[in-house]
Amino acid sequence: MKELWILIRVQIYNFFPINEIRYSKNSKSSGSITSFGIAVLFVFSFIYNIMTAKTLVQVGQQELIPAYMSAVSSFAILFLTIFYSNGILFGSRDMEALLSLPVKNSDIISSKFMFMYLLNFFIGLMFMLPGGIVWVGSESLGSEEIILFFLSIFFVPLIPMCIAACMGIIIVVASSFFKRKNIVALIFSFAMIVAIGYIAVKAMGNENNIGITLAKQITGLYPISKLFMQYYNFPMYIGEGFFIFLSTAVFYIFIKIVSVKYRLLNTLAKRTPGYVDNKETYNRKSLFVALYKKELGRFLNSYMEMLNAGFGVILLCVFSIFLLFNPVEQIGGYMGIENINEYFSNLSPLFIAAMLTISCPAASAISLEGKNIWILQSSPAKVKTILNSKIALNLTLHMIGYIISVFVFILKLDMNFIQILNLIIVPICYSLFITVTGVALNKKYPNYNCKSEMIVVKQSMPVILSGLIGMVALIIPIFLYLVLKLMITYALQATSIVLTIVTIVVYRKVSHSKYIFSIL
Amino acid sequence: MLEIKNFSKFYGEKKVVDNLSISVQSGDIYGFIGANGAGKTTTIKAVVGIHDFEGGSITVGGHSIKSQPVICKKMMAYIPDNPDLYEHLTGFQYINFIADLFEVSNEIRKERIQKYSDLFEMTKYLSGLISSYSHGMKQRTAIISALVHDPKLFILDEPFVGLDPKAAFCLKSIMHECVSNGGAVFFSTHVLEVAEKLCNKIAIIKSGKLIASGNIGDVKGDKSLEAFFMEVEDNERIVDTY
Repeated sequence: MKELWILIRVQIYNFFPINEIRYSKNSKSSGSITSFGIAVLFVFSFIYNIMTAKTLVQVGQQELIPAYMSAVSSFAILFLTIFYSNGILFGSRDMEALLSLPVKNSDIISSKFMFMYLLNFFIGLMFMLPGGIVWVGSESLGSEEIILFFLSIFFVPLIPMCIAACMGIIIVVASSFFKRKNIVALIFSFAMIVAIGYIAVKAMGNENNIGITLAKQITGLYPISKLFMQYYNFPMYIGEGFFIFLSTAVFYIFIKIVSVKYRLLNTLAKRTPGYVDNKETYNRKSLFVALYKKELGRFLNSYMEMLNAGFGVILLCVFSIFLLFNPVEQIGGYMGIENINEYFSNLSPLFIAAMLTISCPAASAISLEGKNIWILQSSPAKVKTILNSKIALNLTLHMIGYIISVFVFILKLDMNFIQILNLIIVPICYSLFITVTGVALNKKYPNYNCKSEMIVVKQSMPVILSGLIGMVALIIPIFLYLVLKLMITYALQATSIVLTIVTIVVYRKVSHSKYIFSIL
Repeated sequence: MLEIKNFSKFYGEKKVVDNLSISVQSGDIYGFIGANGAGKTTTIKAVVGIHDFEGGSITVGGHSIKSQPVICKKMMAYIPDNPDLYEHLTGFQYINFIADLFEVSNEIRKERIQKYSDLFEMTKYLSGLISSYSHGMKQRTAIISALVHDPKLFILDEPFVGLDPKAAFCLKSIMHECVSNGGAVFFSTHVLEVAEKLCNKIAIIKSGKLIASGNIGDVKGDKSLEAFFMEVEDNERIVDTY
């Protein structure tokens, strides 16, 4: 038990910038800013979930709050754990060092799972706690129901973690047999996500009664959430108690089964592909092309980066293809929006921009050089050229989503000239803005020493900050439209002009430096 | 070839290199010696343009590394103590990538890659991914990539760590070849026997300060380099034989 705690503590110190905050004299250190970013996201999410729960109370469906929150949090945990599991559970860089230490294998495995549990517990807490507070305040409940609900917060992450880890195992095993195992792993991951999404949407249905619709949607999304629902002849606390028992049992059985083959799974995850390239071409490429090709190769070889940084673009492509093969009105019906054409025609530029904004590999591109950064730092390439290659990769990724979505939106929506102009120009402005901002932030706050690629891609300060800046940039036109009553088309144009000016200023500043990690 | 004048470097408020001056001329094999944490790698990283610095100047072939980094870097080749290379590339792709950065023509790169990969016995491994290489193979790949653009100045940080005897012998031969063609070599090392046999000049650094520098014979006198090094480590007297 002592070893287990030591292993968990080391992972926590390695994952969160605790030491950086504790020992840094600078209040603006990357650790402090990362913590601030995480705290802001936590608060936003907390407020959002309180508002969601209050909406359920307003429509008289307060008894659905526990089921809703458990379903949504479980789904969020499931999605995030698929992305995490291959970085933490299998193939983590510290595994060889840990296996050489005098600790039991089961302690190492448990520490990895416990650490992942800890991360997922906070995700669950963000949903369950605010939902629970509103739920308790809106209904007359028995003490057993309340106690078991809050107790169940600790158990919510267990089943989704097991499901996601199973998927992770399938991905690890299946992809390890291929030469390009990262690309295969990515395809498997998305295939699974699409499959889950499809099953969930199919199960949701569409009823006239809002209560039945919601209940169907919740249980369709996550059938186990039925245990959190009120039944006439079945006290809720029995369902909650059974949920706790079921979660514990599933988790225990899963750990026992996986620990038997953990070493093998880890070896498969870390296996070096037997890739051999016998092409001996000596064709000279320009400096920029050489750097760009190198960037592209690194991106395509990083499962973690492709999965996380490419997420928005992939979603955009999936949505565009869905829109292409389905009538716009039908999609409006799914979403419960009347006048969907008008809605989409005005807001599609912002929708595309939002999807591009959440795909920003540039925000981690410099940090991901890691210990290889000396190669670029000592090479006779201008900082500007190096940054341009990273910007170009980001724009290439955006371009794929942009071209497909703009083509489909123009084809399927009935838009006027101004709306088409916005659709073409606004996403470009946002794309350039977030790319340049991301690379500038990463240049200012690089982290070359991170042990885990996943931390750099998901939780490094430039990634969090560029995400927050992107969110603000997306909120501005909505604010101008809703609060200042500016027409949405003009609001988008005004924001785009401002973003373009900011992009130019930041780019000029960042590209003039002589050292790749010098201050802006 | 390389002029380091009054070089000072801070990490935060801590001065890690203090007023260091070294002059490396064509034909020099210059050894840079010091204990762990003395400031050798920091100095080398500033020379090759990785680290910015606060005091003094560094020029390569008369060009400042601060104001004309690209010109300086084109004349140099740098090999770090632990060559972390792009693991997703094959050795061949990596060397070609470096050749692209240094704008080496097709014919010249072909000739040099073949020559040095044969010399370092890497020819049959270059088509494999770098992630499958041992430390020594990575080191040899880094050396081949450094040689592909025919540098005038070699900057090496602990170059012999991880090399097998044959590869170490080849590297020493290349160092001699470089200086006989009018180039220069500046390298850090802990291995005093190697420095004693290989270098015509040495500099000894302790706690960021230059303790001794100049022609090796003049610096160490009749003593062995090891005996001299231990003496200056203990006494801290400054010896400059220029």
